[in-house]
Amino acid sequence: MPMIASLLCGLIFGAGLLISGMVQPTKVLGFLDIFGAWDPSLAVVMAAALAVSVPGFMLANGRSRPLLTARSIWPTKRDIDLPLIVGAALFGIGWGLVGLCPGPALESLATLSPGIIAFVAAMAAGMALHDFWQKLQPKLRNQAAVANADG
Amino acid sequence: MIIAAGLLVGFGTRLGGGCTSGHGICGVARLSSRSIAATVIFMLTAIATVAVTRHVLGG
Repeated sequence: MPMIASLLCGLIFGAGLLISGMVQPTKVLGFLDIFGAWDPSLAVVMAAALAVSVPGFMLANGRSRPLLTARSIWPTKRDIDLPLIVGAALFGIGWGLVGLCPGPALESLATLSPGIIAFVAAMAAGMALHDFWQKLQPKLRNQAAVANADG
Repeated sequence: MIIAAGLLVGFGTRLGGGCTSGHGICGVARLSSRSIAATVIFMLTAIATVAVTRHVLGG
């Protein structure tokens, strides 16, 4: 049953991105181009999405557990830290360069266009690079500590 | 350009812990201060990027 629910949610999400035009990079760039020929229509999409998700999350928050799984898993972080700020800034630059964000990019793989395939491959590489860099960090910190101890 | 943008989107979403859907819709809908901050930041950098590529560089 959770599998069927996931499938249905994916279908609804994908249909929403497709119908609203979020999968069209030119439309997204038009929305971001507030100093040029601004196309504000995607703001309506975000507002409509929030109009559904706000009551949805309020409903979910009021329940002790989800309908189909044993327990709720909510995000626990509360602080606005440097990784959040830098990550969001980098993501925004990438989004503004080509008008693709992860959901619509994955959905657009269905077009088999070489540009989309290249973008998704680079996106996966960017994620892998981040995870590799995170794994490397404790090692680097330890090495720095050793170096300091010697000094 | 596509490759650079893909790398930035991949690295940025992992580091920042979310994207347009995760922070922009789900996080904002939960009134998470982290997500509201992330959404404001990525909207601003995306708008600035489009402004530079379209109007400064004239691409």
